[in-house]
Amino acid sequence: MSLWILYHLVGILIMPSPQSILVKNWAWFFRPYLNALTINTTWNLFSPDPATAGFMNVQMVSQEFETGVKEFTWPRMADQKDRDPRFARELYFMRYMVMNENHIKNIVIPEICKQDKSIQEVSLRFYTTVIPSLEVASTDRWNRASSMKRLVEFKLWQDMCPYESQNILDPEEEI
Amino acid sequence: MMSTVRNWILQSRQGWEKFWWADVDPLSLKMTRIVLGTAATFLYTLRFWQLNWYDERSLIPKSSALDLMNAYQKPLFSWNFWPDSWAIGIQIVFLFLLILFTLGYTRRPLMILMWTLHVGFMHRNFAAAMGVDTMVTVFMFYLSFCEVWKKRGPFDLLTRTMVRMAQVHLSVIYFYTGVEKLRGASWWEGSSLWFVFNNQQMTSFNMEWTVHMPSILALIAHLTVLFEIFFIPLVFNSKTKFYILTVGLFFHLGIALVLGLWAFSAIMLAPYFLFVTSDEWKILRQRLGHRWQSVFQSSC
Repeated sequence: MSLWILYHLVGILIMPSPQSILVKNWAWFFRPYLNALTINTTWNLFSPDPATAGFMNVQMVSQEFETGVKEFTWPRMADQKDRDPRFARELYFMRYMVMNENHIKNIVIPEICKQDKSIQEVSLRFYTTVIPSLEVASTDRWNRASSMKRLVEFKLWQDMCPYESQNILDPEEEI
Repeated sequence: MMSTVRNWILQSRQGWEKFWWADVDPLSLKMTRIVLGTAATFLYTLRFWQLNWYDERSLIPKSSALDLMNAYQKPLFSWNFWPDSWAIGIQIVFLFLLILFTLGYTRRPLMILMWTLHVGFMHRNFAAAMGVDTMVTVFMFYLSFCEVWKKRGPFDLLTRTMVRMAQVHLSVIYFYTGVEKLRGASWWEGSSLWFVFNNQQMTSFNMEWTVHMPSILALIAHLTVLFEIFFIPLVFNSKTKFYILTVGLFFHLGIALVLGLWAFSAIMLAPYFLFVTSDEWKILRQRLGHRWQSVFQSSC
């Protein structure tokens, strides 16, 4: 029992810091065990800095659509009046996919193309909200903080359908 | 010289055993089980509306589900042992086990199965797994080995070890969360909460009025980091334990109220009960008066 305690304890103590030389040298010993338990994670809740609001706009081009273009947002936009406990998970899902370009290229775009065979082109735009700094917002007496927020197109992916997925996921490549 | 070394080894061993195998109060375990179980039941009942993320309709094909995880976290095998078409059935079984766990009508094999199904769902679509799911994984794992169905002590060695490990793991999570925040400029500056409060995807209310209180925002941000980093030494010191747990209680109630993360807060608060000893429950019971006596009956 004491041996397991020691092994588990050292594992949960050192593994949340993957940059550590200690971890680089000893990961082989702890990682298979902690990964199987799915408790090997970096505990970066609201850190290093809190995330900003973001959403993805998906545009699909097809001659069969009435206006030639159909679009939707992912997740559906939520304001303070429309709080749904399922929304957070939807947001996480979208963010996780956006974090890695391969996920977008190899999973999201092919999946959208699959939805309707007539779709010729897909564009995905990831928008993020830039919030004025506290210093700026608190010293500006003339403008409300909400009016100083800006929506910025952070990333754009565009591809033709049918999209040939390379089906190679490189988990290391992150934007 | 030899006797000094022998004494030191003996004392260390006694200290180790005293720390890891300290007695557990049944009420502490019961409260943790009920709070964790209720919050998890609420959280995972919602999955019925998002079950298409975990079956054949999912954006993530089952064949590449594990590849979605980053290399550092990717397990050698998936706990998602069922075919996609079983997802609805597995979800029902999981919730049933979770309710049994919450009510205390369970045993170790059932709880281990419950934990396996939980992780199986996470492995099926890791992109949709949130921080709260990892917290559930951690605490559910430890509780799965505890005699949560027992109304009275003493508990076996495994239960006592797992309760202590849950306490230690919670403290480690706080420590790393605090240390990670020190890498962020906004936490040093004290403006981090401003960004959280003005993120309309996070807050339950319009918090724009906080612009008029920058110093208070900065103070709360700095105190948050201090609370998380110093949780370990303060919670394992009997003199400061209740103060830090009270701060933590208000910290998580604040998160629940402002950010609407009720389930997350409840799951983080659930293991707090494990820190309360039998003697401390008695003191609490005396202070709270006879009105609450019936609630605390099981601790006697």
